[in-house]
Amino acid sequence: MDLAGPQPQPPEHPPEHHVAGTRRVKRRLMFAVIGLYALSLAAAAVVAIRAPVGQKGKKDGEESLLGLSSKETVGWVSIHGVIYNDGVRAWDKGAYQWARRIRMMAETKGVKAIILDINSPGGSVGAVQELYSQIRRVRKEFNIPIVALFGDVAASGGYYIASACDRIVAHPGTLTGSIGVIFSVDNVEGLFSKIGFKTEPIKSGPHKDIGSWSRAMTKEERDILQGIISDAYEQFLTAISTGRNMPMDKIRPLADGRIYTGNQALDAGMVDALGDSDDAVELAAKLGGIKGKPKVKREADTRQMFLDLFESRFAGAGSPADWLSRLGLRSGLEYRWAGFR
Amino acid sequence: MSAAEVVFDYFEDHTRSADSVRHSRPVALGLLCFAAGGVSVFMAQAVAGTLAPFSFSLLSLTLLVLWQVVLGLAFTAMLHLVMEFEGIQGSAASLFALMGLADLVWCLAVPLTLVLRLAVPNRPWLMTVAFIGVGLLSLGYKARSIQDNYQVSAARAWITLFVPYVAVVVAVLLVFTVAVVGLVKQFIQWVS
Repeated sequence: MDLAGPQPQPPEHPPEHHVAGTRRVKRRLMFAVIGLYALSLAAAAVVAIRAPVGQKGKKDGEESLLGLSSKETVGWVSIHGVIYNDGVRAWDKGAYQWARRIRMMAETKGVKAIILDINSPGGSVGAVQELYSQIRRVRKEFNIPIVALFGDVAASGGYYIASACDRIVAHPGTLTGSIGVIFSVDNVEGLFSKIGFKTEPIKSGPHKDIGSWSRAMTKEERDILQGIISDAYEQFLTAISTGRNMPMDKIRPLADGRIYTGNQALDAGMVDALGDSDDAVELAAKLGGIKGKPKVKREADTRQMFLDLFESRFAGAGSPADWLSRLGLRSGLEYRWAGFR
Repeated sequence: MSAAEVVFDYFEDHTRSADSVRHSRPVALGLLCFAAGGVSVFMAQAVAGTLAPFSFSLLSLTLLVLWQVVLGLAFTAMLHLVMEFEGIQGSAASLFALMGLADLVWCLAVPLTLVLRLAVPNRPWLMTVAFIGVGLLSLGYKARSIQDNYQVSAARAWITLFVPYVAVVVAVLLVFTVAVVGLVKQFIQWVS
């Protein structure tokens, strides 16, 4: 007889076994998840390497992974205002900054052509030549077409830098031309004498203070300056001839300093086409070998945009260089249309 | 409990996971999770094409992972400090591990962006929505981690979670204001 009564049945799975089983399932599930994650990482790496959107450009005609459209774009760089090298404030625009932006745009992956949106009456000779030279260098180095698009005005130095581009597109009413050089010397001798102000320059040579505004210019000085002007003028003509592939004898009659409308400039062969920004983008895309409707990538210097906005709050205050220019108090050799304010 | 189990429990049975983390304080696991989160964000952004200004390179990946880990550390420190100020006791090491586990949610972003790119390639805004969704999910897990680690209510955990973000926004606004005041001063000096 069994006095102890019925013995409790041992559980089918002891708790330790159950815990061990659960742990095993958890581990297996986790390893499966980790495996899937590793797989997705590998797939992502392949996608990123083979078809990185906006990161690396694809070779022409190459099919993109997953059938995505390519990101071939037309870069847009604006050159607005008088072109100088200097700038008092940190956010002043200058030839070096513009040249850097053009280069940066050319270096940007996917950018196949660049539009140079010019709205400038020109500027100092050195600054204009810096930009001209850099545009040609970028074109050669990156084998990238650059199309100049004229805004309200692209005269003198503005036209000089445009001649470094592959093509020029202007509006019919754009003011361009003004091919020439100017060296403005102010003479305030009369004003100084009225207020009893006199300068006594001590010079190492007779022409050391050439262009001084406290006395009248001598005949000899005028001849020296005219020689400089003539030399810089010839440099201007050579630059246009080289850039636009135009014979000098065709340019010279056009280069008496006069301004032209875009329409007149087209007739004279100074610009290649009349059109608007869309036409320029289409032309640039065509030259860059972009198929379909091109996308435009504008230079995005947020810091500059903010500072421009900030500056515009103060009644259009420009840089000291701009103000001196506007007042006609800035002297020096310039490829600039003096009639533009 | 192994690391795999801790991770599993974090998403399956968070109270059990929190208990385990409180006892073992697996800082190395937290670090690894932050790194995995960083790698996932990097890869997802590479797939989405929003990696700029970074490039798809080992150096960029290292930088981003390092940034993620440092940010995780700073974030955890700040949260712990806030809780300490409020007089609530808890382990910073556990919180770091739990925060790292919450960052693991970013691993979802990789397959998600891949699928979106495959299925709807012409709708980039969907990628943004996916990123926001995963980010919110990660935030949710972070709030739950605070709740588990310090035994506080969900509302308090959410409020505490937003303190570092609010602090960053306030700091940025302050810097911006100082910069604008400086510019105005400079301009006035230049004019006068």
